[in-house]
Amino acid sequence: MTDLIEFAHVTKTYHGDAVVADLNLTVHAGELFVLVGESGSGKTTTLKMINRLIEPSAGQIFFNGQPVTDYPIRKLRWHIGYVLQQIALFPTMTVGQNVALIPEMRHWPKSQVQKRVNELLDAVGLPAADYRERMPKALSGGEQQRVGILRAFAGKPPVVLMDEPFSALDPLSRNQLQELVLRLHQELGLTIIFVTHDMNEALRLGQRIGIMREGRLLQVATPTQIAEAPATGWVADFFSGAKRVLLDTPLAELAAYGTPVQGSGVSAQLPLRNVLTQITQTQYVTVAAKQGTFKLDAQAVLQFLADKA
Amino acid sequence: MNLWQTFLDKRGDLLLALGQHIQISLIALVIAVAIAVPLGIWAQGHRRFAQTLLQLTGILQTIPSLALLGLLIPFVGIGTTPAIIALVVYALLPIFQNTYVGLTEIDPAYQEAAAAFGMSRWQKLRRVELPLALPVIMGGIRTATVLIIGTATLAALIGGGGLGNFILLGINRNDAALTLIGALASAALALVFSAGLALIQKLRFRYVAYALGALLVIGGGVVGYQALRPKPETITIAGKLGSEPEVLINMYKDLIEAGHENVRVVLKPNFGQTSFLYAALKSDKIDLYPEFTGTVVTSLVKPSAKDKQALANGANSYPIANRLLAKQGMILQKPMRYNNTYALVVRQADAQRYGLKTIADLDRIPQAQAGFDLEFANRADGYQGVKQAYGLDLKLHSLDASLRYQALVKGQVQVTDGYSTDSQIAQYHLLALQDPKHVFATYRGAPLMRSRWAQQHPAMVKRLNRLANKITETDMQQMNYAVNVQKQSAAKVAKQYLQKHGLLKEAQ
Repeated sequence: MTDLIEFAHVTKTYHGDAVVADLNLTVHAGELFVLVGESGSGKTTTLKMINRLIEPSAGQIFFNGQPVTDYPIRKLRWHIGYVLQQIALFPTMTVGQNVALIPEMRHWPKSQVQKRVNELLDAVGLPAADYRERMPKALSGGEQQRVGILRAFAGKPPVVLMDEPFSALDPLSRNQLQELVLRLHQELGLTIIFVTHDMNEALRLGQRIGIMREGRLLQVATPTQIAEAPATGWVADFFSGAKRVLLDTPLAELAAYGTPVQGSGVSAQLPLRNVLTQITQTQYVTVAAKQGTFKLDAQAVLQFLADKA
Repeated sequence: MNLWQTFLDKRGDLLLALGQHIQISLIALVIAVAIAVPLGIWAQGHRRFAQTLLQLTGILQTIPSLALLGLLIPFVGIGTTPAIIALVVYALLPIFQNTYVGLTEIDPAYQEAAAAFGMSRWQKLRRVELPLALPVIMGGIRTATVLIIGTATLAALIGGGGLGNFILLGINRNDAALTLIGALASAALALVFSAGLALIQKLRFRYVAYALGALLVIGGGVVGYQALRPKPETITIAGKLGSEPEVLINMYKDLIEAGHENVRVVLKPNFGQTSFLYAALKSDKIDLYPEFTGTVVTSLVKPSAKDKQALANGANSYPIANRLLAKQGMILQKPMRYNNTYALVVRQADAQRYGLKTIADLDRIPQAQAGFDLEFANRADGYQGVKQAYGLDLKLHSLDASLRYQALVKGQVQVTDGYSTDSQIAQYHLLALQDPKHVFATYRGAPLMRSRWAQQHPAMVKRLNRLANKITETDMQQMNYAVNVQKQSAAKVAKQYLQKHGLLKEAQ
């Protein structure tokens, strides 16, 4: 695995107080990395130092092996998508214009920009024919953030930063958008760095999770590793405090209950709830996990639920 | 007051004034926008400077507009230029303030998004900040527009033209209909412009930018065309406020044009007060205007003590005026007959009853009641002088200038002060008493011009001098009456007089 982003002894102080203290972290190319922590833990500051919205007080950040300060700042930012908590679709532009923003700035041919915008909108359930000319105000919060995500992805950046993108949304929209992030990550194979204060969200999305507290990175590990071996008592408390909804368990964690088979299947990152309908209709579902493809039937799911409940 | 009739009579003038008003206002608005919006944008990065600038523009706005116009005259003269500068100064604050505030109050999330997407400073401004701040900026432009259109009425004071001409003329002629028409038209114009801008605001940013661009191009084109157009020699004649100067300059025009030289005569009636006109004459903005000997010696030149003594003793002011004017490169041509000075006015009925001819005869009226305007009552060359010279002691009432003729006509007083050529004298059958002791300075009118201009145009000067010793007080009273009361055009009244007296015939 290649290292895409690396923090080396990065510190950020405001008026003498360290908001981020001596941070060392590597994010691999292609991974969905989640930074989780309470407010004031320094996670957002850490994120914004990657695209240089905030400059570190000490230490260095590398992008593709080179210090971020070596790139012309606008070019650097064109290659790093960004999704804001406030969504911040430009209200004076249509949905289509918002999505087209970065490809246009990068001088893509007009027809290619149009094609890209239409494809993206169609792919996330906002049909371009209907939505492209609408103003952002006319969209629901969930739809707006969907467009916000497309805006970040439109320029085909190798990495997208997401700063608590769903914290202001209702649970239903949040769930749908989490699915969308998982799907886009799977389909496009890019790197996502996702910041949240919600441990549930972190566990659902993160392949690896970095837990921050008071400017320090306490632990970086997979969800399973954190569950099994929390680095500190605080991490254990934070983890157990996450009221994990059983139906949101990624299918990967049900591998032990399934029967190994050959061939392809749905993503192992999908939550359990997403395949329940299919199981009732076709008796089983095949899941493509890293350990190998396995078959999951109603009996296996019931057993899993019985064990955990 | 017959508003509708006045409107019909004056609609040609009104249209012209409206055109001038719109032109001045639009030019001022475009310049103000071109200065204040970039300044407001620039101030984003210079917050402390912006505060200073806000205070400065605020202070500029507190300068009374009239004072500002006065301050500008020594630097830019008179006419439309100082008017536009003053209007621009007033419009700066609301536009600058709204641009600055509009941009400052943009949600920081949009700023962050724009930065994170790698927008350049210009892209950020054009695609994000200006469109977001546009409603606030347009609000400032609307405020400025209403302000400009209202204040532009003051342009008339310094020869800038516009609807203010109607208002000033109305005040000057005591004609409320004219004032009201000017004020209403100005208010209506402000409403129309404000509504138009509100409409533009609803359009997309791009169209607003196009509209502003088009306005700039059209404005520039018109100015450029006017600057490049070849012209015959233009002779500009101006006149002070009022019907009498307007009649006179129309006479000058007719006399000059009687020579059929290849010239274009431009009249600027109601151009302003004495000092504006004289400044305009000195700076070649106008070529001649009718002036009075008395005004020359009191306001335009500085007579020596000896000259003052001579004038006080009733010496002819014309040669003294011309000798002193020559030092300033000016010449006053031969004066007309009438003396437009202070006069004591009585009813003709009383004049017959008591046999009144001169001021000295006033003591024949038992217990005479006098209605004087406050200034006249206290001036040494007004009632105070009269009292001394003629030994009169009248019972005084101080009356506003606009009311004194009414009081006289209604018999509330028996004598008032006035000017010897006032149209009311003809209108109400009054009589201006003679002043054999010369208490009132002589004010005899003639064209005032630069000496050089007179040398270059001898034939025209000769024709202008056909008016020398013509026009009596009664003639002038009747012509003023025809213009002020009968609403005839000054041009027509002037031409009638010249034709009647054979002054336009070349055989003279």
